[in-house]
Amino acid sequence: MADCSATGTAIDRVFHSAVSGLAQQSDNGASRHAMKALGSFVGNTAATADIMGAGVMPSGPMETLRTGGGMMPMSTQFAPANISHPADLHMRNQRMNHQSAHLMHMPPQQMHQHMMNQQMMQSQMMMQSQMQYQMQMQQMQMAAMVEHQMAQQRLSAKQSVQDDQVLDETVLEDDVVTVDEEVDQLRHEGITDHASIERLAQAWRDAEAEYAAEFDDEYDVSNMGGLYDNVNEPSQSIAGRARLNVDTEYEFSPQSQTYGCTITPFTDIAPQELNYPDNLYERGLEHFNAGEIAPAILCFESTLRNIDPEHADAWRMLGKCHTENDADQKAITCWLKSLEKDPYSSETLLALVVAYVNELDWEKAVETLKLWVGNHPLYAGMDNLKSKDDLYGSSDIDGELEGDIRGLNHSTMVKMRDVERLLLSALDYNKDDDAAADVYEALGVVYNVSRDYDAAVDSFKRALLVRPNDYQLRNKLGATLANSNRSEEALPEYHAALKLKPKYTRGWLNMAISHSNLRNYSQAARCYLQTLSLNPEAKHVWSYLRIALTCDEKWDLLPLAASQNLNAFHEHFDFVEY
Amino acid sequence: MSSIPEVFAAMGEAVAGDGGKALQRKFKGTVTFTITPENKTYSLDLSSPTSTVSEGDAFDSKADLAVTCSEEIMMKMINKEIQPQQAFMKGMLKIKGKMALAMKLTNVLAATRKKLPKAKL
Repeated sequence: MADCSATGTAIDRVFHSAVSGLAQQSDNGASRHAMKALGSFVGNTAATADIMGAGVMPSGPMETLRTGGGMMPMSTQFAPANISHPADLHMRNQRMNHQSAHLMHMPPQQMHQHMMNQQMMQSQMMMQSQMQYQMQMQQMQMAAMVEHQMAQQRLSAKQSVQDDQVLDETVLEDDVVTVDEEVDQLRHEGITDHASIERLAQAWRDAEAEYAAEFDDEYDVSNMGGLYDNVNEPSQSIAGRARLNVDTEYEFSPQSQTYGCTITPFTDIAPQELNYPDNLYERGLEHFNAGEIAPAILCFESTLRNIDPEHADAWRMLGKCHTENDADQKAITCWLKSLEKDPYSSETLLALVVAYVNELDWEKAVETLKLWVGNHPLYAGMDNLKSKDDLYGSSDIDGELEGDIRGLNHSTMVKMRDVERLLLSALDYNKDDDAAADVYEALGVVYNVSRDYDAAVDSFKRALLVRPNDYQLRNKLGATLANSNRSEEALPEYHAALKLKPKYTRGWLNMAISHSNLRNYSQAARCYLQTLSLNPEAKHVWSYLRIALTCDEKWDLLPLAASQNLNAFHEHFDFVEY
Repeated sequence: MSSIPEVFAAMGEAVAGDGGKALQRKFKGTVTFTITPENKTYSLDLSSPTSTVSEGDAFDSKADLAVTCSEEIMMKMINKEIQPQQAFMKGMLKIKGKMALAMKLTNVLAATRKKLPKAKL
């Protein structure tokens, strides 16, 4: 301790010569604070000692306290310069507290032995922990602490007599249980009894990782039937600036085989000889605009199968049909095919972004968004801002935390902020209203990804100023409001959208969800039924209907829902069959 | 967003059928959820071939695992705003019973999340 103070005073002299009396005073203030902290710490450990009733306890932490105390004066000399120290001390206190709490679980007779090991290791650990802590402040705090205790536990378990006890337990368990899994579980339980907190946290993290690996965490609405199938489309890397590789094949519906043919096909007429009207695509468009999605789909599919498989617009419209039907996965496949033929279509690209967002595939959404901006004719002259963050990694720890919690990985978060900047600069670049509406729409989508819901709402509202009759924009605004707990405000938007297009399936579905959020379960059920009448293929909607009925306590209607008998619901709810 | 009754109704959907069988593989047991402050209880039964979620305490306090938390925390966990282990560390989530089952809690939550309706852009 003498050494410390010697060097301390030397540096102190230099320090004081640089700064006048104030430094002296704040030094004292800091050391007073440190002493106070130490005092409370001693009080704490004394209290835990009482609870445990083991007289041997206090010596352990006291010893380290002395060593810890020894280090104190030196560091407090620099207190004014290094503001983090009180926090540093507090951190170490916490750690030590937890360690002593942890020791509570060991039976008293082992205490002494433990104490020896404790003291040996604790000084070592003090060094280690200081370094660790300084490197990663916030999020590693818990993890490091837990890991220390785990390692310590293992180490001490090896050296103490208690080891025999644990072995005995597992031997006993082997005798009793035959199935491997259960042995694992029981052993698990045996250990957790001794150190619940740390073990539990570790196990939870493992379970999460395991679960995420086994069950794809993406919310795959259109694939509800195969809920836990790891349906992974082979990753579609967006190679090059505009080419998108499509590995999944689109499955045509059987009816579109010879749909719209001008002569009635006989079985012995070869397919090539069948004649199709030239305006099949246009007819599809008419159906779509009238809200008749099913015939529209047939027209487009037939066009693609029988007239022109390269018809990029037909693929695009087909995608649109599917998205109106709330089948985003199919829509994505169609749009990717459309982009194969026509890689620069901004409409397709933007629609693709929205679909990815709905499917919670943030990475692809952001990448496609970049393509959208890059390929948009109005922004051709704009400089492409390079991502500066990518070069320097990121010191944005907060961003990482935030991204993790929201299921976004860090690099995607960075790319997303990038795109946001790109879009904002695009607004400056081209002040034309129409172009601005596009950008506002894209911005709204981006903000949905980052969950900046307020900003998203604002962006969509501005887009609507330019295009008040765009029913899809209304829906987007409504969905954003609903997802940010403003379902009441969402309802008028949905109404507006449905007024513009009464057969807008997605509109009905979203409205149902909002009613459900507002606990209007019977209204919600009505809207779900309406959705189903427009699109009987939507299996997940039956599931939502069941949820609404359960919440509404209409259990007698559940069997009807289970059997998917739409007609039977007419007498209970008022909805129109299209 | 959603409400507690909806969450548990969705959980019921998640454990019915194939999804339930997958969960059962990992997780045989019974769980009671108690949501404060109204102290409503919901019981999740994954021990029998037909898994169910029902309101009220179906196991007469003899469930394998008892989970207690406030409505706010439950909604936060569902919305992925907080992880179960964080809630537990902060003392906002209380667990009694088989720890092994508690560890699988995240699986159940994830399955429930998938069944909850979400508005689409």
